Amino acid sequence: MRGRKIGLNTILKAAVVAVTTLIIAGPLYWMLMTGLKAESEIYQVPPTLFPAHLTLENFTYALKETKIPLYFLNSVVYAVLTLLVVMFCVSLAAYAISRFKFKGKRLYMIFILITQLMPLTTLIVPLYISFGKMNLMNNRFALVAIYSAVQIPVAIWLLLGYFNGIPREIDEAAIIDGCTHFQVLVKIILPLAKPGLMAMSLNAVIFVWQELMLAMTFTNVDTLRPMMAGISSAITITGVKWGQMNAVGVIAIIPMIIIYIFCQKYLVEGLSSGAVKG
Amino acid sequence: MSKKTRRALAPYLYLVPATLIIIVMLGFPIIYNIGVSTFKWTLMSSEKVFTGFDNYIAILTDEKFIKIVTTTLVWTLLGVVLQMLIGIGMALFVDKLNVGKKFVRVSMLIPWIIPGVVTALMWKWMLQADLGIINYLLMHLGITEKNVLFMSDPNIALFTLVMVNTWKATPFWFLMITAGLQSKPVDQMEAATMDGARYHHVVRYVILPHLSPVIASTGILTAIWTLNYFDLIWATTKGGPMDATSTLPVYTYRLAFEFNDFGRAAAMAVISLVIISVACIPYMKKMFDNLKYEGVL
Repeated sequence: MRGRKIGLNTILKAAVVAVTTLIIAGPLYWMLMTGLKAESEIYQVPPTLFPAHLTLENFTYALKETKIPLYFLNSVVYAVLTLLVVMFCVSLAAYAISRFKFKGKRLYMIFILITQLMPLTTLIVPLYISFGKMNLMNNRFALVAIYSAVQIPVAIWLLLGYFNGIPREIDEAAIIDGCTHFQVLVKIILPLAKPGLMAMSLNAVIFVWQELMLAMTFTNVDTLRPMMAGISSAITITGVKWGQMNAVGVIAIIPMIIIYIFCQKYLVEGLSSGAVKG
Repeated sequence: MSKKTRRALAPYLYLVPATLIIIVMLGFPIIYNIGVSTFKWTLMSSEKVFTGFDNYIAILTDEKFIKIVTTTLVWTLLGVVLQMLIGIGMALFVDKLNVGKKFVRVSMLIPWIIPGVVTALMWKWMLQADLGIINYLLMHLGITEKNVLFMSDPNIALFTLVMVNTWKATPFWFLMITAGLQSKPVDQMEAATMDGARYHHVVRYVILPHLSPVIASTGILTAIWTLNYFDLIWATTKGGPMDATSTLPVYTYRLAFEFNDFGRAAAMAVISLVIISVACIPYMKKMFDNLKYEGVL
């Protein structure tokens, strides 16, 4: 009797795992398969679960005949530049907050929290007007500056948790040995907070890679458009070529999948430590 | 400069780069946005007229506003409740698994890193009225008799998008609850089981109370994110059909760049800001308690 009960339980569990996997992986599988089918096979009834003729024509078309490689490169540039700015500003700021006593700290933290939670819609109108006046529309650095500003508050909170976890005795000892405060940050705190820096960096890169609203508001020429703005305008028109679009979708998530495979540990740790602690 | 003043100034210097960027790119726009909201300011006319609270009054008395707020509430609350129930359920389920724990945990998180626009692309394709795989399966299995217009029927579109967003956002809940379960009170759970409690009793009276702080902060955080979420809706329906999926951020964007009414869009953004700030107060309190606990404040 007991053996049979466990058997039933195991089958139920396996069924839940199977259904969950199907729901999660199904859409991704279907995107990849559609991308690998010829246009005629895509609209075939009944649909084929696996392409009868595997072809890379959608991928080669997307890479050779469209602006996708350019958009992709733009996204990479935005992500890298934003990451550099955020890393520099946030390391300094989190260090000051974690290690120094100063007047106005509480007020500063309130300021950081509010900016972290404000909706991006409050930015589009004023920045659109002032960028127009200052000739900053379609300017790479202007978009990077907005992205950095949006990421800095979140990143400060994230890194602060890691900095606070490093015992203060370590920096006191280094100061006694003759280190300056800046050296303490660069030589001791930052190396010890490496997981935090990784988590913060991944968070920033993923944010920039996904972002749509600011990207499409402040760039409208192909040479500066990032990936998501390009895709979004291509799928909201009528007469979408679904084979090519699905191939583009696959290309667009490759960097995210790579990050996920190699840096999952940091990503997960950062996500769960940044938002809820204690 | 004496060593003492240098020491006193140091923290402020460290804060300069971050603060400068935030003030220029977030602080100034908020103030400017409030300014714009008090003007009749459209892209068409070059003349800007100060109108005080007229934009706010126009928005609040517009019957569309009630519809937008209702849509936003349904989108946010239904979305967060679904994410929460499925996330908690899956986390508890995976926690009890003997084999394949790691595999399921790893795959559960994948939708989280798929960009909203790509999520939109995938689901839009699968949910196509005539060519989509889902309609094909539903008809083939005899569940529906004719094609369901998932994205173009005003009565269905919002729920379709809530489901798609649940696909994308549930992993975060799963992650948070799984993290919370790492410190679950094993002794209490064992004691309860010894006293004859069934598993669902243990969940109800031991595990859920233990998780409640995590549930509370994840709830507030995901509610704000969901409310503000723009990408997925924009890349699928752009707020249509007939405003059925126009939430606050989507409608604000349309006011600005479809109706070219900057004054009203700015006022709408201020209204969103107020709503979110009110919802955030408990979250902010918790973040400050953490800082005090860590000895920073």
